[in-house]
Amino acid sequence: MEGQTERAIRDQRLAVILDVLAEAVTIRALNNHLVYANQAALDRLGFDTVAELRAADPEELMGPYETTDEHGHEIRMDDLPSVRLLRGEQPEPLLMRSVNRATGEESWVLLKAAGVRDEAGEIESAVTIIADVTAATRATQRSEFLARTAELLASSLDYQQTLRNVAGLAVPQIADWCAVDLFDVDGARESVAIAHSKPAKLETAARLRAYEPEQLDPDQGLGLVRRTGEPLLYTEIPDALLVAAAVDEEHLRLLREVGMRAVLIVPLTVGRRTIGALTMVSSESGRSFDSGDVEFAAQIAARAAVAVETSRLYSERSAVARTLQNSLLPDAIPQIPGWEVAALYRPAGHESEVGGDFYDFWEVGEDWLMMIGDVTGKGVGAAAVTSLVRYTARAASEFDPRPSQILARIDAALRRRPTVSLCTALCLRLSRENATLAVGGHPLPLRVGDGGAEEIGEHGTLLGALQHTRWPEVEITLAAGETLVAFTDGVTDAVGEGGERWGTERLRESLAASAGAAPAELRVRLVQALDEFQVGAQADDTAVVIMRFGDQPPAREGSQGHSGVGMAGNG
Amino acid sequence: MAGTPFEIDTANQADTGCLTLSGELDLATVPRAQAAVDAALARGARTLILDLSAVSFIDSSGLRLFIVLHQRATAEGWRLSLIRPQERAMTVFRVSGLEENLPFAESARPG
Repeated sequence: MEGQTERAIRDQRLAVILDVLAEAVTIRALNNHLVYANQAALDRLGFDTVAELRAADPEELMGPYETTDEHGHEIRMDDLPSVRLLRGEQPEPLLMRSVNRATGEESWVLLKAAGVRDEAGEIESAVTIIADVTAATRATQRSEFLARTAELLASSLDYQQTLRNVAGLAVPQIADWCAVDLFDVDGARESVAIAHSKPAKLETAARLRAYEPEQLDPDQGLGLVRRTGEPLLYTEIPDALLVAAAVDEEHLRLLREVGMRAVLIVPLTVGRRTIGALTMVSSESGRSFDSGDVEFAAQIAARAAVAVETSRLYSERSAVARTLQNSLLPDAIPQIPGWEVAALYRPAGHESEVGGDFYDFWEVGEDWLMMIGDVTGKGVGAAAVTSLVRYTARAASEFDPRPSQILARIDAALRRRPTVSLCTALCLRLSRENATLAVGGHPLPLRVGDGGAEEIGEHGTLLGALQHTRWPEVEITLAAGETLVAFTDGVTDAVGEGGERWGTERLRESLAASAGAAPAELRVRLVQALDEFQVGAQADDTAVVIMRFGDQPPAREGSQGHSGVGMAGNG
Repeated sequence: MAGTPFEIDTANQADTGCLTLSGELDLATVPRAQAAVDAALARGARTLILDLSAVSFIDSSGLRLFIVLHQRATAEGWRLSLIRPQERAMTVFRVSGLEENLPFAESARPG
């Protein structure tokens, strides 16, 4: 048996050793009271002496703290490893987040418990080692969060949706509320995202938004961040500040309802421009923000700003492409006497790319010319070739409006280019009652009438690269009510189920079934038939020109010529 | 998307490279055909036979490949010979006037 004295000396030595440890150590007795704490533990628990601690109600020891696990679930005394151990369980170490309700200070601790057994082998008390892992836990959480943010930001070019996703990710781990606002050049704000882990809270946010001024105050909050480009941290939000900010009783009530504990606003910066801000609000979790949070939020904001800018540049590029594309098509389908006309143009792929298909109508003297074609390739290079083809055709027609000669001029112009530039084209000249057709490497047009849909014209050479060329001209005649359909290979090459192509046969059947329909109607049915057949994304550009010959012969009143008389319809 | 997957078989004999293409030759598969041709030429082929008899579809980018190869062969002094594709794909060469402009072999065994 050990003597009282020896035991006291040993305990004292042990106490001295434990007091110099950085880790907090406590001993919990079977009645759940803490009977010992080293200096670090006393500091953590807010007691001056072990005697005071012994006297305290163990339930109340946790009172000043909001304690949760890493998933945000509340942790009670019964969940602590030492208490579980005393109950006879074998608990795993517990990672616990605790927030001091008074100061808002957040910390993460790892609790490990071990049992002390009496001589009979029964557990008589539990020793808990409490390691402060705040820095390590935050670092892990932040790097995980940043990695997921990067994924989210790279996942879509729709930056509004992306920012909403990022805000959603930030709650509740990083903050209770997370909002993203973008600024326009005049200082007006656009609220892009606001997130809270509990949807019911968002209603409060929506009602609060009604109180926000259109223009930002450059001396506080978002306006200040916009002006300075510097982060702004409010570690305390005294009620007086809310009273000062509130415009009326209801506003004040809503502001108090949010229960803001701390607010952190970091700018979204591109170069020297502040394009928006990320706002994080701590409320019911009770935690405060520190310089580490500011730095972390700035990292998120930097990534978000890049994503917004990329997305905006992309939108601009799409707009440029659309403008360029539109410049390659006629502004409107002109009114051609005696003809009713509709046209279809559907570029494939990304909207930021310019397609290679085109069509055009123009007037030369008393004649009208129609051309449809397909330049090999896509993008700005193809757009330049398309432009060359269109203007060459228009210029050539001034000298010689015969379709074969126009195609010959285009062929010559393309050959002069430094790289192989190929183009298919179909050229139709409408001169009084006559129509003349020449085709260069392009699908033959179809004549659609009561007899079905049949190819007309004669094949000629692809434009741009070949030695042996021929572009035979064919006079074509259409009966009143018959329709000429010219198209690019994007129509017949459309891919359906099992990789099958739509093909000329299906196109002919589809058109024949709609014979007699007005061009605009025919266009609608054609699009429907194509969409029904096609699977996946449209692979190639598609252009179609539909021209119905009128019931009446073209009006010819001397010098009035083609001044819009007739029955032309607009595509 | 294609009905039959695109494939290239390469056989080399002395200074002759023979590439057998099958499936659909379009925007997506042209780069692979181009790479196979470049590889054969890099190995020192002076004659290149492109067997298209198993090719079922050719789009405009496919046509462009043959035109560019034909021009290169003339400029660089090697010989290109094409074996006709299936009728449906051959139509594309015919209607675009390429049949009379490209070096198609008269039979399956070019002379």
